Amino acid sequence: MNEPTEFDDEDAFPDSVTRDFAMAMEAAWLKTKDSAFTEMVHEYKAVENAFIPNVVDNDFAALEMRKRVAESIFKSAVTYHQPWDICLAYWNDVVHLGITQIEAKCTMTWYYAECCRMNGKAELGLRILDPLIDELRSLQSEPDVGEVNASFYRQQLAVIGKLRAKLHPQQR
Amino acid sequence: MSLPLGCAGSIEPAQPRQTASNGKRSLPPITEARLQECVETYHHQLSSIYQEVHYRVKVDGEGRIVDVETSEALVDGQDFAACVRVVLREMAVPNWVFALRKEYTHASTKAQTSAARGAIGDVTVMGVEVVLEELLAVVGGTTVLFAVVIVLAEGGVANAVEAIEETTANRRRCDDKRTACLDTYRASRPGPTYGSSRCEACHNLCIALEGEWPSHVTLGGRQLSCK
Repeated sequence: MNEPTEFDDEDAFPDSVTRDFAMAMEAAWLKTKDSAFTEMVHEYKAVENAFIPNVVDNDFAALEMRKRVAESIFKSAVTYHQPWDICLAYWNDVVHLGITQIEAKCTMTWYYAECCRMNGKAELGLRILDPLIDELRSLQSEPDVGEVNASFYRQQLAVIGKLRAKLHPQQR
Repeated sequence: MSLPLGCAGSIEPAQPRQTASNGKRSLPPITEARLQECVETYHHQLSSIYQEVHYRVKVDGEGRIVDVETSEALVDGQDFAACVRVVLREMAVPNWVFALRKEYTHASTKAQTSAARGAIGDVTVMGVEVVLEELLAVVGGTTVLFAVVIVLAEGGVANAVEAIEETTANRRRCDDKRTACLDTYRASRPGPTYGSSRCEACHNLCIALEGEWPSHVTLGGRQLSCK
C-alpha cells in the first residue's frame, strides 16, 4: 500500500481564542524548555489561568484547554525525567480529564510507557501498551479503514512496538 | 569490609545497612536547607502538626540519582511532596557514597551471588542501603521528620538510566526542530486536538520516533504536515 502524500495545510484554528491559547502554550514551552520542571508547570498553569476565564460559557473549550495543559505538563514530567510518583500524578490528571481521540491516546500512552521505562517499571508499561496494540490492530482491520488511517495505525504500531521491545528486557 | 548478605534465593533478601560508627551520616547541608524551605513554604498543607516522611534515594553506579521513592501515603500536601522530591532528586550525592560503592562492589563480587539480588519496587537492584541521620524541620507549630535512605543500586537500574539518557537526547533533537518549526507558517497552524499547535504535535511524535521529525501528524483520516 502506498503511503499517502497529500497534506491538508489549509487548516485554521476555529476561533481567535483557541489560536491565542495554542500560541501561548508554544510561548510557554519556548520560554521554559531549558528550565527546571517546576518552572514549566508554573508557565503552563499560568496559560490555563489566563485563558479559562475567556471560555466560561463554553464547557467544551474549557475542558479541552485543561486537557492540553495537563498533557503538556505530563509530557514534560516524562521528558525531563521526573520521579515516578510525580510522573504518575500528572498522568492521572490526563486520564481524569479524559483521552478521547485515538491519536491523543497513542501519544499519551506512549509517554506513560516511556515514563515506566525510565523508572524501571516495565510491567506497568507493558500492561498499558498491550491493550493499545490490540486496539490499533482491530482498527487497522476494519473494512472501511481508509488509506490515511491505515497508514497512521501502521506508524503507531511500529512506534509502540519499538517501545515495547525496549521494555521487555527490564522485566524481572 | 564484611557485609551481611541476604539469604540467596529469598524473595526479599536482607539489604546490608551501613551506618557510620559514631552514628548516621547526614544529608548534605544544602539539601537540609532546601528541605527546611519546603516545610516553611508548604507546612500549611500538612494535616497534622507532626509528620514523619520516609524516602529512598536510589543512586546508580556512576553516582547519579535515578529515583526517589516513598512508600507512603504519609505525605500529604501535593506541593509539599513535590518540593521534597525535587530537592532529593537534585541532591548532590556525597563523595563518601562512592567510597562505599567501591568497598561494597569489591565485597559483593567476592561473596554475593546473583541469587542474592533484591527487589525495590519494580527495579531489580543489588545494593547497599545507607540510613542517613534524620532531619527535624520545625516551622511554627509544625514538625516534620525526614528519614532518608540512600540505596546504592545496580542491575536493572542501568536500563532505566539508559532510557533517561536516550529520551533526553531525543528530546533535545526534537526541541531544536520544534524551535525551527516555530519560525515557519506551521507555527500558526492547529494540531490534531483542540487548542494544540502543529509544531507541538509534530514534537510529540518526534520524540516517539527517537528524534526524527515526522513528515506529518494524523487526525481523523487527515494528514497535517510537519515539514
